[in-house]
Amino acid sequence: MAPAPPRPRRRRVLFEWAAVAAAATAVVAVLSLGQLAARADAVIYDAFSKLGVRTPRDDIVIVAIDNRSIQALGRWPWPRARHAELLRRLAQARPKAVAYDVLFVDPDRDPGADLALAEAVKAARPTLLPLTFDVPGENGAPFRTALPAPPLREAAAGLGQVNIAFDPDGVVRRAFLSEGDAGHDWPHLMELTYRQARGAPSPAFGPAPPPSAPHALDGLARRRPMMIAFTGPAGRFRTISFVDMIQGDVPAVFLRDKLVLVGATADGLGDRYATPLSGEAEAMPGVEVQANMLDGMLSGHAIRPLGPIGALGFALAPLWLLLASFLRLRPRENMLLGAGLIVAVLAVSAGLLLHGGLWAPPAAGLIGLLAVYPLWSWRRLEATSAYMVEELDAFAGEPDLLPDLAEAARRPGGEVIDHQLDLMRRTIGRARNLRHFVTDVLQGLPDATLVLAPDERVLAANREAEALFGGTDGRGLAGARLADLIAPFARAEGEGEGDAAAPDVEAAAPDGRVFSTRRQPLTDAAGRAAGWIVRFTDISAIKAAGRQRENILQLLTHDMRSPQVSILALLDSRDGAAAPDELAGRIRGYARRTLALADNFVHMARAETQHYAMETVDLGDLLLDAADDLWPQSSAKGVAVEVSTGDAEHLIRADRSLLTRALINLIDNGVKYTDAGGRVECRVAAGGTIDRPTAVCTIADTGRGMSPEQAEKLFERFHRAPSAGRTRADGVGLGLVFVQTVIERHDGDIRCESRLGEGSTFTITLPLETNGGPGSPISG
Amino acid sequence: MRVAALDDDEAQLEAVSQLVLATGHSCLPFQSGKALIAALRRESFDLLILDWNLPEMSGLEVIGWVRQHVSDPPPILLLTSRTDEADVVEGLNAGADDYVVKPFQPSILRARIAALFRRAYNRAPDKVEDFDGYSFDSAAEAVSMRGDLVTLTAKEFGLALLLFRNLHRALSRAHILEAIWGRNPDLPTRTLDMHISRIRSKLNLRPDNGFRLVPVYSYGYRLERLDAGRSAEADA
Repeated sequence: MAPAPPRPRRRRVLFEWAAVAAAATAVVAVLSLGQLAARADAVIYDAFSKLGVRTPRDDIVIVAIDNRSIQALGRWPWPRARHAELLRRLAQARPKAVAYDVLFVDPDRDPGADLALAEAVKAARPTLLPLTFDVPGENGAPFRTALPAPPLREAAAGLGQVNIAFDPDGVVRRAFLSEGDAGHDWPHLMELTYRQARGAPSPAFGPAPPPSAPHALDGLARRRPMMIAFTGPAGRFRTISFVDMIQGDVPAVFLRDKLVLVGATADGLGDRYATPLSGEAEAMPGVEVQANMLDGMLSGHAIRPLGPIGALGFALAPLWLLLASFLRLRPRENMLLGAGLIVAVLAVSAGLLLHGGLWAPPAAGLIGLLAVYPLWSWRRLEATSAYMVEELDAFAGEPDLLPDLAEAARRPGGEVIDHQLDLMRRTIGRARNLRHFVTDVLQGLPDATLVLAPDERVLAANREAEALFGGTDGRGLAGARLADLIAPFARAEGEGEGDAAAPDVEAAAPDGRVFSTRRQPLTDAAGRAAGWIVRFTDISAIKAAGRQRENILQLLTHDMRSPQVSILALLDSRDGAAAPDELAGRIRGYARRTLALADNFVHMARAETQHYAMETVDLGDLLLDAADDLWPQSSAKGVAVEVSTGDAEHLIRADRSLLTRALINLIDNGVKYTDAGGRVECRVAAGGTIDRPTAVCTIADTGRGMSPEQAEKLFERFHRAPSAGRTRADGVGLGLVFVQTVIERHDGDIRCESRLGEGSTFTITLPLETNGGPGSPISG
Repeated sequence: MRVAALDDDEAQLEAVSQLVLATGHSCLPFQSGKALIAALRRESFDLLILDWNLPEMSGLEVIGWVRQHVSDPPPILLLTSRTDEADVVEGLNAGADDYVVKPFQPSILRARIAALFRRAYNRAPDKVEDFDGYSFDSAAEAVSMRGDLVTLTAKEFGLALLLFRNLHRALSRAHILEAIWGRNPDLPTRTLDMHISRIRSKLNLRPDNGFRLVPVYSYGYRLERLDAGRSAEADA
């Protein structure tokens, strides 16, 4: 079972994320830039505005042309003389400024009336008069600026536009502080009033030149938008009835240094508007809207709406924050974060509106946040589901340990859900069968076996293990600690220090049986440690056989040698001298051959044991040792053993004793088959390749040699070279098998080339020690 | 000198006794470890030649008793049929000073006995020490081989002199390393083998020159001088 490939799945999730991010960003951008969420923003704005209800300033006084005035003074429009009368009254009260929100656009039929009014305007200085724009204008012009009649124009301290800006829902929430065309920019009447009160343009008006035409309305450029911070519903400002003013019922002190707004509030005059706080029933007169504007500017509540780029940024920032967290946080955290972001957007928007003088429309951002979470959840589920089906499909296609399940045919087609359910059902079925299978396999093992968790507690045990450790049933051992189970076990004799839980050790059970314990790490499909399998093999019989073998070796090395040694000693003693020389010599010869045979068997047994004491040695040294060891025999026979090792070392990993014994056997062989006056040449040289450097040792004699067939059969176990005549060299067969065994155990290779009558050449190839170079020179 | 020989085999004991007597020393034969220990309680010996495998009390047990109970223990030579290298090392590590495998060559046994006497009852070394044609001048750290000066490094000189002084005696690697290099745990493991190889080559310590450097596997080295007349009767 291959580990699940995580990368394609991750890529798929990233792809889904990018698609969701792009879609959400596009939606939010269109909503924000196209102001498609303006209605929603309006609702939120109105709700926030209710939080901003405050007491109106007392330095703003409205002189209202109200129903009572109309009833008392007659139908509207009134003659200009009546307005002049009011202005005169106002002048006496010396207000700070008068904004007369009544249009005197058309010249009166009586030019004297205009002049009289102009006089009154002058008297009540500073008096500000409104103008308006007629749309469309004359002769195809986009608009016409409708100014007051010329005398009034000159008499007024300022002319300001009083255009009302309706939102799409017909509610008045904003005003433009300047309107006009490229030629002339008309400030708002309230901006002018503010300047009269404070002597400087309002902060909302701003010093910077307005953008070219952010809000074009039929060619009329509307600039410097400002949200009106309404103080509350209609009728909250100090209001004096026009008629009371004219009749002198108002004390002058009431108006002293006040900002006086004159305007119509009477129902019949129609100058009424819906505002965020006006409620459904009561509309707000235009003059009161103006008063609210002025109040806001004076109180520092002038609210500047965010520009399109700012609004877009405000809408996208929370969206992207949430999108980024999709990749980092878990679904639950993402949901909390989304909810938190919605609250935060509303809170920031409200905070900016009420205290920062800034209107950041939140609806686009909120819609983005609300839409992106389900969108992402859907895509992520889709991706996860696709991944699961893929994995299940792949798993269904993998070869199964249990054949009957693997044979279950895959049904193509069908409904998607059916297919998924089918896959799931089969996967679960496979897992169940596999568990049964594993349990059966464990029970079927002949050795006591424990399956351990990584913390060395027993997960499963077979019957043999339960019998060994005294568990009564399958539950008996589960959860037990390995250390507790093997505590009564003693380390087998001959084992070194350490505990019985170490891998591959021999341990003696309390009943005397000896077990070889072997622990093997378990890993899961991804290669992580998942626990251990510990197997206890009863090796009592093997141990007994080993002891027997030791006893036989002991017999050979000592008990069989000792009598031969005694025979030799006896022959050399004074009593032995009595024996005839020829007889003594033959007895001596047999005794020596028996000794040699015993020694060869012992060497052979050593060569086949497990433990080779490997060390780094110079092959040349070993060759010299071997030659020196044989010097007595070779010099006695008159055969010269010549060793040339060169100046370089040939370092190999070897059991020094065994390899030297092997070389001794080979040289001894050469000496035995070479007649007096002959030579045995021993050489060491470097060989092999750069990747696998070797040391090559050749031992060549000038003896009688062999036929190629004999040379080929030389290294067969217990095969004795049939020599010419009846001469029989002792133990040669066993000697060469020993050589072959030792060389092979050193990962080496031995060959023999031979010609009858010319001699034999044995070539040994041994791998050089890897970290030392081939033939490294001897250094100080 | 008084030598005690221990062997349960009469022929062997006789052979050893004859050899010792022939070298001019006295030899007391013992056939059991208990008898030898009883003698050791009463009198002292200058050398013990012990067999390993004995009924009742083994040679190694005798060595253990000697090391424990004799205040100034004499040198001990193990003479045994046990040929396995592990046995050789075990015997030497148990406290034997040298080890000879039966059947012994008389020349070798004589040389080993002489080496043990020389070491145990050594006189102060001369300024110039001569060993069969090799002359060591410790002051000059110079060695000459039959009159020809051989150039050796200081370590090679020390190693060669140590081996010659302990002719026919097995020296453990630890012994040699500590004598020549001192206690140096960082010494490369091949250092000793390389120096042995070099003095063998420079001083021609080869059988045809009368000398042989024998590795005692898993233990150390021994320098032997071959008796040219006797070596012909050597066997495998």
